[in-house]
Amino acid sequence: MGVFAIGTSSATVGAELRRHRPWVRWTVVTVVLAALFLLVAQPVGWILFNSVHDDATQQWTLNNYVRLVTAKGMLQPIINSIILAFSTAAISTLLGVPLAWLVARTNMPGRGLIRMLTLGAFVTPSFIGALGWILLAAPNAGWLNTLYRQISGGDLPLFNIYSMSGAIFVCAIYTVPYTFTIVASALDEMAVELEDAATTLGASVLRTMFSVTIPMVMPSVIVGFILSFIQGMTLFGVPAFLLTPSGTSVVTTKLAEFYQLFPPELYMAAAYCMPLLLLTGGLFWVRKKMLGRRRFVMIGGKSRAGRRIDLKGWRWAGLLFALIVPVTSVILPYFALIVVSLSKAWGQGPSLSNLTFHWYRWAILENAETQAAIINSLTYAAIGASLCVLLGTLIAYIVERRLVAGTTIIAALTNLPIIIPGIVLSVGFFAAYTQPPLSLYGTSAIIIAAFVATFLPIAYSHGVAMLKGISPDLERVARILGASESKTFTSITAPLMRSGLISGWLLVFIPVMRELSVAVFLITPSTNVMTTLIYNYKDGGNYEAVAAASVLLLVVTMVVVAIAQMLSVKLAKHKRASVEPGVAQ
Amino acid sequence: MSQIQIRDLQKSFGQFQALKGIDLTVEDGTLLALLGPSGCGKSTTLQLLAGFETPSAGEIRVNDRVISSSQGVVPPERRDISLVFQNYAVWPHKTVAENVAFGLQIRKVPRAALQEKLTKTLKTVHLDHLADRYPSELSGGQQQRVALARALIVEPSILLLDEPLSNLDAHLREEMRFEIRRVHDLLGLTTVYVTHDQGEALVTANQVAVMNGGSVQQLGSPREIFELPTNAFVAAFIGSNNVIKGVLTGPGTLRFGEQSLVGVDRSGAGPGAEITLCIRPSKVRIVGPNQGVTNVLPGTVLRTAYLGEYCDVLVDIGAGLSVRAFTPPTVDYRVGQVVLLHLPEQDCHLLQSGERVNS
Amino acid sequence: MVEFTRRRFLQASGIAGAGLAAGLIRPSFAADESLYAAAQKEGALNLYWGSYEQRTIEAIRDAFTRRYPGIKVNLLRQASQTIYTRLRLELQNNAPNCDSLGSTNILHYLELKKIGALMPYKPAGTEFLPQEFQGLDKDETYQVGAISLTSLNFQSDKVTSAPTSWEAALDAQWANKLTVGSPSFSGDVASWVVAIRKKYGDHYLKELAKLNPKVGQSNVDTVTDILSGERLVGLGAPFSYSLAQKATGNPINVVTPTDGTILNLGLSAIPLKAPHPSAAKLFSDFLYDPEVSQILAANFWPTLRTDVPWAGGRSLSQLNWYRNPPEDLAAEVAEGIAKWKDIIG
Repeated sequence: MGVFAIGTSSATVGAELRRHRPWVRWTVVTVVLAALFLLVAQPVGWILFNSVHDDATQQWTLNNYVRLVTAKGMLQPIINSIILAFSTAAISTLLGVPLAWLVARTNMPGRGLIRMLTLGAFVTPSFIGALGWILLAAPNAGWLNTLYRQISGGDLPLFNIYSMSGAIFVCAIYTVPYTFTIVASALDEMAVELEDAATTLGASVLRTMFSVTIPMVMPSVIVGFILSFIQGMTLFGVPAFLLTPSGTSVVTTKLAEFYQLFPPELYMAAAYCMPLLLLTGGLFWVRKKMLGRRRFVMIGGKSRAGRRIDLKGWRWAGLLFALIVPVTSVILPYFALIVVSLSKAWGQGPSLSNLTFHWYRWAILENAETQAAIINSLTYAAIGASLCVLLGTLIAYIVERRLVAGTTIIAALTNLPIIIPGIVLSVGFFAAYTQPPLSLYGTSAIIIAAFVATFLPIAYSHGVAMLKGISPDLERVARILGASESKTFTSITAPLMRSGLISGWLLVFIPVMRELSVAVFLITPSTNVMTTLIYNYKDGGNYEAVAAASVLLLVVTMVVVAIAQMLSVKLAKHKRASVEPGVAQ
Repeated sequence: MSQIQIRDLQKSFGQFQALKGIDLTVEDGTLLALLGPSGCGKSTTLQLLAGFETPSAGEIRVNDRVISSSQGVVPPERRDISLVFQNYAVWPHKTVAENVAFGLQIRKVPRAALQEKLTKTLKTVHLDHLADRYPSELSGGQQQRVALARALIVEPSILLLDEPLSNLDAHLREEMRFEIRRVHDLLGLTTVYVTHDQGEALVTANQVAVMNGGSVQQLGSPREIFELPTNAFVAAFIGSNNVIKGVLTGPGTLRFGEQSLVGVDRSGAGPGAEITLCIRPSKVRIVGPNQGVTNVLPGTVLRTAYLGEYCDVLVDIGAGLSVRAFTPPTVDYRVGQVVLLHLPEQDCHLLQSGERVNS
Repeated sequence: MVEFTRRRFLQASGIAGAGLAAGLIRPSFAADESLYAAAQKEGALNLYWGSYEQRTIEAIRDAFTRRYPGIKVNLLRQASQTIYTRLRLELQNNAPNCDSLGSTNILHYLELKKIGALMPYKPAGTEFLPQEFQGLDKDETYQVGAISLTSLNFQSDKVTSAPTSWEAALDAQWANKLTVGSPSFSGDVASWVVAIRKKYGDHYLKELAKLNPKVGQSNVDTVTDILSGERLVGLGAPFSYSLAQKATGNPINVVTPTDGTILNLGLSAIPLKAPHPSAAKLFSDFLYDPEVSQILAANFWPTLRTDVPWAGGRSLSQLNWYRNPPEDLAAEVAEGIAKWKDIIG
């Protein structure tokens, strides 16, 4: 194969070389950047724009910000949010890190089951978990409290879920999946020899865990903490249900208040979420710094994967600890919800005469709304996850392989949505895409777009993690053997990412299924999804329908997850080796 | 015929100038070794040759056709050049056969011809019995041969090798040096071989370019590089070397401390300049007194090591300097013994330290 | 206090049904034939209704669909405040989607009328409304869509003698046993707070605060708290919805207080830029059809026609009811919410 024609003058040389510009690359990059602009920059831009306008007069003003710092009742919710978020992150870390250690590094029994149940916690919308916990732990009527009163014979309840500690508890147990997953994968990849070094020197199991293992995965622990903190700041449903009865506000419920006022203060709300954005944005920057030093965790080398620490007699204690999260986040609340869903009239309490499958029949077979909502949820989540993973992976590729200048800005923009509360992003999308030329209001497109934007940071992070494990030399080799950039991507890069793509897809699919606040203003009756439907039922007091629909949501999501996991196992047959260099970094 | 011409090639990464303007010509069929320490610019040169980087200035031509210049590069997939990576970069999701066949598939070689070529190539590198294995099931040496087979099967005009042996253990490395030389001679490919190991360079290459700090210090045959280094850096990098720094006081005379030595003046410097005297330990002799020769230095033995083929003796000659000598193994020297060192004049090279030399 | 048993309810609907059969209740006009044709051409109808709970408004929608096939009805049932915010967003962004607005807050309509966003339309059948509620707006941009009664409710299994008036609910025996919605969230609760303050001043709120009530969001939360047994007596509670829950067998019942059941009118209007105006008008007319009033009665709502009786033999004239006058209402609501926040939290 020859390449040759003689041309030595400078002009022809230049022209010749210019013939070989990478058109495909530039087209892809342009499309991706355009998508990023439309999905993130535009709506966020509108939010910023709105924050400097007055709700009543529509004029430019800085008054919203002035009110923010001077008016009464503005500061306390921010403080409450910080308390909630920090405590949530702390507890989530305290539960998640040992859990990850137990599952990834020890011979604790039932590891697979625990992993699956923790996934169940990830699948559950936290506001539904809150509803379940209200049934269990409301001070007077909560079933656990009633049980406790019967046993202890006293009058006082054991728990009061309508409190800050109650809210922290519920937020934390549903945030554990984040810390768990991040730390567990770091532990999975850690070289075992590092622990061996400690044990051969005589350190006990616990000593090794505290002095070697945990410090080694410290960056992941911190990343998990930060993610949990951000979750705690941006959750809406849990504080709305659990804190409002005691009159405690957090930033997200305060924002909802602005939307409920007459007249609604939408622009004030936009300004109000700025402190939140600054705080979570700052934390995210810290996370970025942490991830930049991630290399030192994976020393790689010839690790004997699969060798586990023997807990001996402590195995069962470990299992007991590991069961805390699955029991509190999945088993107990869903038990309560299932009982209610099977009641004819839930106020009567559980009894044989009060049992019925009516509500499930109603939801699945009779009620057109629920049927449509299930289909909508699945469709939007599937399409949204696919688009999100595609876009996130392409952006990750562009940034990791430095295909253009300014990758720092691209990365920052991609990560922006994670720090914006869903309800605010919802309004941003509304403003951006309900007027011509892009008038998407009432369509499923605007909802899918909002979902894609909301979870783009997750898909992007995941894409970056996948790509860090694929050496650029693997791609360069293909290039030099004659494959163009796009052919290289499709024959080498994409197949190597295959199993990662599926787990990335799930990482987006699941949160979309359980997302509420982003959808609230964008759905119309024909585009209703399960979460907004459940929220409506709750608003209407129809708890049996709430419970039945919640159980359905869980079942439907878990079915899809199970299918995807099976596919992933099939495709991961030729798992890449971590044994020799040339593959792992 | 594939001749590579590199003219004033420069490359900067931000503020850091990795290549400061190098000129090289690789004649058709030659194996050129780029030899130097880490950071000398040899890998950058290879990346530029492969087309993965764009030069900041200068150009690369193959057979008089420009393939890289600051205005742009012919993309790697169109250069008819193969590259074997340091870490082999063997694709883990493809079998050995699939890895090797990839280049032919891209070129849409018909199935029968492809199969024939594949079988032949795998036989050549002794991998035919492993064709259906995955890389994770292979040893380092086997993976390296897969990478080599993959690069050769497409019959490139030019072959580039980026430290291909550095991840192998010592014994395998020695064996593979000869293997690469054999394959090169068999196929007659123009080859550029990057290494930091001077043993590899001397065994495999027709021409060696010693690089340091982004420029070529010396270009020559292995014998020229070893026997007639152009500066102290090259002298020190190839083989063992003794370095004595001093001042040029007269033609061929170096003064250090209170003593003077004479040698072959190849420094091109004027009197009073600071230069270096280099002599190989194998040329230094320990002599008896009153032998009546010039360049005799008294010294004290600091340490000796018996290496079977010779003894490695380190002698303190004062003024904070020491000289190594390889002596016949039959004589034992004791630490602290006073000896006389003879540095034969024709083996003493007076050189500049290691700045850029116009080749 | 009258006990609403199943028997009574069946009696009442039996009478209504017989009455209809006897032609005493006039069916809806045949003059909406041309309107129907135009609505069919439009093909769809977007309802934004918060005045009724899911079941009732769905029943009304289904009846409309049966009566007028060929019009796809899209029902958005959210809290009135949320619906209004959404409508405002639509107006601001010039993306009109709402055909019929059913909110429990008259202030929404006053505001919309002020900016000229409502379409004047006098539906057929409004003359069957109770006299007091006809002609609310002289320009006919909005009419009554729902009659929402706010009363007390209680756990009928655990409470033997529920308070008979708002004042009686302040008795010490109800400490830690009360539940109430929030005026900043619910229009019905807001109107209750305004009315209570008018009658008893801030004193009422202060006393209420001492009893440590559980404060939720919508007035529906009182029903939830009672059904769960978390609290025993609800203030500012939804009369109709409580009765509907009772009818399904839940242990809940209502009290119409002697010092006044608070009456709040849910209204109905057609936005000026409604995408399906004919369908919207058709629906507005349909609201005052006897069939709708029967559905309302079946769900324990007051009917919109005086010739269709309420369930259980109740009627407007029997009740001691009170409605906040709309003048100054905006200021009073704002003040009420502020005082509530100060006193109750």
